[in-house]
Amino acid sequence: MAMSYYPKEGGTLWSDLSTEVVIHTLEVYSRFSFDFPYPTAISLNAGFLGGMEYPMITFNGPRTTLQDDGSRTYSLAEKRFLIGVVIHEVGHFYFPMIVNSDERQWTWMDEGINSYLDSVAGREWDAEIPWGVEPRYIVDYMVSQTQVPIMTQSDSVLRLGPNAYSKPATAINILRETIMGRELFDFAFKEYSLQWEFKRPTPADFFRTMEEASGIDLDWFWRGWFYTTDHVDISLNRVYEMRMDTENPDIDYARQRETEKALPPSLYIQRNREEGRQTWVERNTDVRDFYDDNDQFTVTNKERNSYNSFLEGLEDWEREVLDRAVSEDLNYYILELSNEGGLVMPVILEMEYVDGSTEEMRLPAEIWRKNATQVKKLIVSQNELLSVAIDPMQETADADIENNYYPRRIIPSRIESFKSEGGGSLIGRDVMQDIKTELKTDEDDEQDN
Amino acid sequence: MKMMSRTTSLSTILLRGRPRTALLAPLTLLCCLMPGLSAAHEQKTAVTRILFNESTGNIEVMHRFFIHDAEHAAGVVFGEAQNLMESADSRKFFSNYVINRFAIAAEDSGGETTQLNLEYVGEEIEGQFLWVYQEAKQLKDLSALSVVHVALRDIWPDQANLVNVEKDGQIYSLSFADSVESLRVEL
Ligand SMILES: [Zn+2]
Repeated sequence: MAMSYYPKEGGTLWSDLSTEVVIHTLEVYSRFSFDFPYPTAISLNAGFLGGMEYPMITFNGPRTTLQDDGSRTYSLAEKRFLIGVVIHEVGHFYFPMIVNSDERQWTWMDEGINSYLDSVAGREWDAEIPWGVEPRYIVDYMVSQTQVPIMTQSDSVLRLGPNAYSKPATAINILRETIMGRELFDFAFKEYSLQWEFKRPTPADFFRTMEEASGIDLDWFWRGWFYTTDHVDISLNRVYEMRMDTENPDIDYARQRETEKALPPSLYIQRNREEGRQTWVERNTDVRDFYDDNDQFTVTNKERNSYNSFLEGLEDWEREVLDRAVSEDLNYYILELSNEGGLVMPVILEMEYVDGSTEEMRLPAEIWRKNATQVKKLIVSQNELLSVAIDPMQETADADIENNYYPRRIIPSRIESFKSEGGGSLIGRDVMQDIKTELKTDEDDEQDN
Repeated sequence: MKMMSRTTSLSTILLRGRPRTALLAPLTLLCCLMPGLSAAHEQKTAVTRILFNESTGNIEVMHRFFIHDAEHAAGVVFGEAQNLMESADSRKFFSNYVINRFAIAAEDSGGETTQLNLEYVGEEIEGQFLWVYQEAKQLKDLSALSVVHVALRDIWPDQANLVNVEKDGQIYSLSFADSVESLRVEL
């Protein structure tokens, strides 16, 4: 039975929400783990700031404010906090009260895993509420220089909040949404919950069970997120454009000539022309010879013969491949990426083409397997590439957004964009107060005048 | 799951003699704090970015607080409940409180110290966070910063504030926890 105990100070904040949130939490957590095995689940209003969990009972803080007219009100922030704290504390019934990890040794195993799952339950309660585990919010902590890895015995952890709550919760959300995919992750996570229900898992049990149940090698992920203080920062440094040679001299030499012509003309020669200065050769045409009508790109039969013997030397399948490649005439690009933050992650690319179309490409983290700091990626496309963005949905906690774009974009600082928006977004309006304003009529205007 | 039924207000706890006057509110709050409380989400932590913005020539200071933390703090400081999301006045109150509990002293190469004249820029809400902005002109000769940051830490002993100083692509972190009130960083 889901229950709530509260004094009159709880008001409608408690009578309308608390028990409903307990039920919702049990439904979501049971879906991701196992059926709640106990007969009661209690949310008790304790009137302090925060919440505290025990098996089957939770103490949760938020209360209403008594107004002069005797009514009891609460702010939007207080309402959101109540929902969040009840989900979180009830979630502890599962982690660590049933999946009984040792919170004194490894706080992240209950707080991190529970914060991950409370964010899932929160989003399923009301998607309009910002639940705050969006990966970008952990960046300030992850780039900071005074950190210890998540895998630090709890007595030695610095700043328990981000270390044991939000960083592991963000990591597990990323593991689900970006690395493993929901289907595999949810299966593996349920397996972890079922295997370790009423037992005492250690971090290695969590890491191993997630890998074995999903069949995915996640060693690199645990190492980066749980055993180091590295952060995510993948930079797209250059994009090279390439064209495939056809080997046919009549085509390739002509292209090379065009490439050379496309270079800007010599400024010095241009200035001579502007001065009306004629060259000796222009003034004395009798010195012109063969080389004035032919350049290094002139094709002779020597090149054509060697092209023909090259074709004859090809196997049938090789000839087919060459013919197809020549007729397709695709665009080839090499993307030069570097790992600036140290933490290995998948590379999510959004390509924008000249014809206005876009394409998403997700390169798994294994792209860094042979070189964890620099990597090149070949992109072959029918369309001409205009720009590339890394992690356009900001799902990887990439710390430096500026180097995610090629060509580079100017990213204003928070204060710069705050000022350019005229100081404060629309959410800063006092709607509850403003809504009392009466509409002005023409008569009012006349009176004003 | 089948055992569940909805029971609201099954029993009611009446707290007798709960102080209602504004002045007593901070005291009550502090008394009720228990060590080892498990907070929903990660509360009682704030982040401040100090950015040397080369394109504007300013030192930008951006404080990020959990709205819920900030709202309770504002309630304690001003003696009555504040609604940070609904009321621009409440937000200004809170910003004013922060500005008075944060300071930067700049040290030049000769060891001369001047307190930066941080101007209030504004504040805004982003998701579950409240940002408070300040800025100052950059100094030509700068070798170290001393930062004082006691915002919320004068209200809750377990409040921890992280300050990241970002200059020339480098990040220098200052961690305000336990009894630390002032920290110095060489740039
Ligand atoms: Zn907790």
